[in-house]
Amino acid sequence: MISIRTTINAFLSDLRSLMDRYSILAPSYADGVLDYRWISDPGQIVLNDELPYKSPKEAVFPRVEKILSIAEDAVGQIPDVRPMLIIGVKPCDITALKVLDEVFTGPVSRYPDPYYKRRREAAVIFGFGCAEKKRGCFCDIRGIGMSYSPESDAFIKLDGENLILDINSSGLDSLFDAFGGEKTEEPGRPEPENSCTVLEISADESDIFDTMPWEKYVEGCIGCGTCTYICPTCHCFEFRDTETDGVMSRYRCWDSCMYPKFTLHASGHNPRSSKKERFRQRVMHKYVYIPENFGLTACTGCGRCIRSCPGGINIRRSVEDINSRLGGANTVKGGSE
Amino acid sequence: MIDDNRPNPDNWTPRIVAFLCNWCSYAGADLAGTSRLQYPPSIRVIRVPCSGRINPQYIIKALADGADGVMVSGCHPGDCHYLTGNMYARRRFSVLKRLLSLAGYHPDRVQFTWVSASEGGRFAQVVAEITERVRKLGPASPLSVPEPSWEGAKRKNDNRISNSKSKNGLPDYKEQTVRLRELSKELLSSGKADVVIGFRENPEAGSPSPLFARTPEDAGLLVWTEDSWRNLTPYLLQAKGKAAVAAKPCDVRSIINLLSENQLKREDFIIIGMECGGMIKDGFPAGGCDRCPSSIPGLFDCVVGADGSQAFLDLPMQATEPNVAEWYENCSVEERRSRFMREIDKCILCYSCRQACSGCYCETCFVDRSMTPWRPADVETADKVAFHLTRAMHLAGRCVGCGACENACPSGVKLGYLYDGLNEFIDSMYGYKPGVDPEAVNAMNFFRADDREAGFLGGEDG
Repeated sequence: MISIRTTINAFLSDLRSLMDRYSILAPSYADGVLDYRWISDPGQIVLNDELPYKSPKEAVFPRVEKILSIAEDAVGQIPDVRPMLIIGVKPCDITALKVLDEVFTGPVSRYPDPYYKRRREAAVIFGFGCAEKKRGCFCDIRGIGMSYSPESDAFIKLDGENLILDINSSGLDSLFDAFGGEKTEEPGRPEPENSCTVLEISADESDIFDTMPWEKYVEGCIGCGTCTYICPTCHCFEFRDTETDGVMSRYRCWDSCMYPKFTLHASGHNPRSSKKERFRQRVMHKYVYIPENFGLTACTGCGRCIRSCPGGINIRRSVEDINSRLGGANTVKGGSE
Repeated sequence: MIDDNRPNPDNWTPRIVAFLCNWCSYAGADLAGTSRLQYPPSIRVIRVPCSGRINPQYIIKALADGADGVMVSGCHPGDCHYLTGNMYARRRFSVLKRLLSLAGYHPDRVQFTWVSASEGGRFAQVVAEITERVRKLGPASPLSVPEPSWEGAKRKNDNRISNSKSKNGLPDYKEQTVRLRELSKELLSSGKADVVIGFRENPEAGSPSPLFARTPEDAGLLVWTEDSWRNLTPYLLQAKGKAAVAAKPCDVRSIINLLSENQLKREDFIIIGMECGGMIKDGFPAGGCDRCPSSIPGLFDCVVGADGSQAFLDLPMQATEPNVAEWYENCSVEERRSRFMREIDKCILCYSCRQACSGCYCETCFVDRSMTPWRPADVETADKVAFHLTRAMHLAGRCVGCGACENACPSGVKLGYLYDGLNEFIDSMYGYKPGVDPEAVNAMNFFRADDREAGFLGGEDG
């Protein structure tokens, strides 16, 4: 593994010179809120121990994306994606990108998604670790090391005024050559050890579908959908067609299982008619269906949904409760969790 | 949609959407035509049955989608074909104009007036004047978003005591918890209540979460802390059986508003009134707490005082935020626009503000009814503007300032000043405050023959 040792200032000025080739998405403050944003100058980048409030999934899976336009009988070209550097991505969010990769382009998914793929291939991920676990974070019990992720293309480590860049990807030399500093050959970092028991649901759909007190878990839910918007792995979408001045456009837009119209049939029937069914779908999708289909759990323990939920829904406690019920042990007392 | 190739302002005719009532103003326009009167070809007429039929959303949408101006004209008060349609419209328009001004739309872009069927001359003159005012302002500016301040959050310390919000100190939350548990156990074991809605610990979330206690044992999990800022009122609307709710003064104002709108029946639930000295969220005073007028709930069945006793102490409260009217008077249209657009930019249209709001109880929200929830990015800003302004209009004179919308927003959008500004305006115009009297009729559902015409063409602030 190549490691580049440079200073923060030199790194930022190297990034500045790369901005004519790349767009940069990085954590930055705007009006006091830290989030991944398209920055206009590398000086806006903030690498600290705070977790940006949304995940960077919008870079590869935008909230609204035009995937087709037709004017009269000619199909319009969808513009190319500009190469992008996503800087300061926390290990939980890097793991989440891996989940999205599996779902959209992985070997198991029968229909590789070209729109996701072209964005994902244009993105270079610069990881950055956490020093401390934040309130509500549970990456540790999800088996994700918070200080390092080998899944990134490069990983940033700060050492006072110095910055160490560990290059994990090969084939990006033309990019990494742009960074000055002392280059050394380092032994690859060992896989982070995990001593905790990993939080998972080892049960079939039928074991928990009707037997768990879903209503109790979700009593405080107000159905706002915030959890799905800020979740790094939620990826349900729908299509919308619009027509303006004779040009028909098809957009792919995020959907949310927390909305009453999610899976509403044209007949008026909705198999998920109340928040109980909708929350069950959310938990099952992350902890049962995706593991079954793709072999990994689609929850990274970033804790965003727990911290942001206006109704106090806590997916971690719900999953723990499901597990304890499966094992016949403790159960949640009193009302919603 | 916003036209990127805006015409040269020197050689340009404004595009003004004109909503005309069928019985008077439309006939007035007809008369102007048959009388061969000249007026600028700047208006696009939409005929409506009555000025009272004009949903404020139409006006907001026209502006958000790029109209240079909007004109509304109906029958003179007293002449309405439907007797009182224009009387309700008059209040609605005055309030809407204040809302648009608060959000940074120049007042001259939206004009309300009355033209009768016999006033062809007046119609031509009104259109000429409105066109001239809009022409002076130039084409509607695109919904551009000002640069944010690229700075981190400035952590404020708990300023509740230093700002003399409560001079006698803060409530004793431990004692309040003890008393709340006692009361709840009693209510549940005696069968007076089937469920007590309160809070439980949720350390991961950083503040307590709603708890629905159904047994006396559950009641032992109830807590009351300095960050019990969530408004529990919306859960009352879904409660099955007889519910008791632990309610702060702001929660009770929400309840009173729902009672006055016949959404709740007083005999169906029990209010455990909690004395409150202002709540804290993530180290800041929670949304709404800065402007809260009282430590004592306005309606209750049983009492948890600040010291856990059975009587309120009446902690002295003092608003620490300047009022919105003052801010409104002292800043320019551009500053107001810039503040509004900064907030709009943060919004991700998740609608959690609506979901958390006790006043937003429509079974199907207007956005789900008449707008697609997601639209292409280039018109998304217009959708956000339309959503927030229409919601503000729906809450005019109904918002009780509990701050639930700001507290629930995951992006930190703070638009409470719009609702506060409208409430101050409605109080000054019509002498009505929401959340005070369950018997009172909301100012927007009422009119007087001599209502002031604020914001009307040629009238006060017009």
